[in-house]
Amino acid sequence: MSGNDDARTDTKRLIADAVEDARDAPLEPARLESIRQLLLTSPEARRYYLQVNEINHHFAGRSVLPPESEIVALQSNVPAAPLRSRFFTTRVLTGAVTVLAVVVSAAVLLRHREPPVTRSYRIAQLEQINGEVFVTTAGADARTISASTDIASGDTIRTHGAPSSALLRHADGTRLLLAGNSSLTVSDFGQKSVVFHAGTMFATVAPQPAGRPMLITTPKDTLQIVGTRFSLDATEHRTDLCVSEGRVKITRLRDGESVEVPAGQRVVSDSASELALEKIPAAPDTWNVDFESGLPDGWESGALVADDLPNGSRLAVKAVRVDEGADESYAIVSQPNWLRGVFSVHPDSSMQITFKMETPSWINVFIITHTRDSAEPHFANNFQYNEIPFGRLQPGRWYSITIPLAEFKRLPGYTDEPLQDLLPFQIVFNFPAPDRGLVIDEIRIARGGPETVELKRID
Amino acid sequence: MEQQSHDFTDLVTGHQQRMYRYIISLLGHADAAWDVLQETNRVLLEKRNEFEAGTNFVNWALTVAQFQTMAWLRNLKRDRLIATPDIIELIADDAQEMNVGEDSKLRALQSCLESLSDHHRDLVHRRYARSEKLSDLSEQTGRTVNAMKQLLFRIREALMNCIQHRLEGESR
Repeated sequence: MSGNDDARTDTKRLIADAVEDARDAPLEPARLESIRQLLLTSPEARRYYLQVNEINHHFAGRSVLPPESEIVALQSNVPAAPLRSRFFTTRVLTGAVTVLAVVVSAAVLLRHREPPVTRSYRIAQLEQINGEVFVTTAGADARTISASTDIASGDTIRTHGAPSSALLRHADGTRLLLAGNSSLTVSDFGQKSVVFHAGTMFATVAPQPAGRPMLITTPKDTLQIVGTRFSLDATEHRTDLCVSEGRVKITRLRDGESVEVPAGQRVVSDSASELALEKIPAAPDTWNVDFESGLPDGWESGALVADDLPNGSRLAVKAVRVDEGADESYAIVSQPNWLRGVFSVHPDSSMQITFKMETPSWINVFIITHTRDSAEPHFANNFQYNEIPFGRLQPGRWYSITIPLAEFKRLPGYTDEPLQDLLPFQIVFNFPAPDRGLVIDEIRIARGGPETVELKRID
Repeated sequence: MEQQSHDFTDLVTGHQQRMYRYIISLLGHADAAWDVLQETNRVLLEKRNEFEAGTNFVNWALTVAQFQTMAWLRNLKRDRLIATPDIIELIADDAQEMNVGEDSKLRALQSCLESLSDHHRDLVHRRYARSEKLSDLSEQTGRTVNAMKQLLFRIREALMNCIQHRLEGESR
């Protein structure tokens, strides 16, 4: 090999090694400066740098956009909203009732820099605040909101905690209800634009100016809306769109597939399935989770266990420690489902729980509910049952308890509506420290159960 | 006017992959590239009235992407990524040229990957698709970190040569 070839190889190795090491951690300052000088002075080094980046990302399957960044475009006039940073993303701890849990689907935009566009005017008002709601103005820290507040182009609104919600109202009557653990960034440059980072949103969109439909970008899709009513649930992996009125066109960027969703229909966009229309399902009468396939997507609190389980069971979930302020507690918390609720409540509905406790004592069982308004549901109330007869329980033994839902008591201070008129969207089991070793193997909601509480040992 | 608006939006959404690949070749970091892409989209839509229908949208969009990349880097702490705005300015044109013919490159790459041994293909997948660290791969394979880097370098060189060879064969 000639001297020139040696030099070329050396240059390549320097660049390749730097790119390789920088994938794992920032380079040391001296080395970084040395590589940068090489790139500034050597056209060959620069070409090779581009080639390395290109092929490394082909290797990663990232020569196309990652699935979670697909944009479903729904025709509506809105310029793209300010960015949701993946580079600076951090996990958000979410909670329901008294718990903290790691949320997989929600991300907080931390602005580490000034945005290139100056926000200067109000485009909407945030009102009907419930629970914990934060607004982040570009270039500033998030601030907690407790009363009606003006929203400017570029602001990020985040609701934290399953019962939380906030309503964003534009001057033209467009309303966006953010619910549960959700976050969006809104802008308006003559076209409304929303970057919907994750969570659940209910929207009533007033007719938009011709050629300027509202644009909503989710982690997977972009929606363009000319004037309609719909609900949207988005995570990093899927977008779930239900249209109540009007029509919404959704286009998946990854493959360009698109479909128009009419009123009464639903479409789920993810990386695995086709964009297929289906009727919007109602909340089912029954619900069952047995953890045999692990924790359901979005499950908020609990740790899987595989030992000392009932016959035929492979996995169960154990209550884990959560802290709220100075109070230590333990909890198992289901995934919230604001969009359609977990189950419908009937006079003969009951909850059956297969469980054990190492140190039997009382526990709270909560059913968290919101109103049945499909357009703009609001948190309604928590219904509580805490009368499991723990005195009859033997430590470490498995039991099945069936509790008629009529036995759950409404907590004071919120809506007076009965449970049957509301939509449960989350289930919580919790108790204060010390750990009682609560393990749940199965939770089942069904109809036609006993009229009184039944407890039986099953091992 | 409404038709023009739809056409422009279609242009933006229809070239997302091209823009993303361009930005990632400049920055070498997927998450950073996604951030810049979002910002680029916002600027493109904001400046839609500046785009003249019938002119080359891709060139215009990639130029916007270049400037958004430089602006993004200016606001970043200096030690986070290798690229700087000055470097981007120097490599932007080459990156645009490299972007051309992407589909045939991807086909060639797929074909060349199949010629790797299972072990090497697995290594490439773990390092770049699953982002496993060099130190972890080194521990699991019993090779030193430097040996891992050397191996990845050789694999990448072999694939680049293979792709080049296949593209030259296609063009004949």
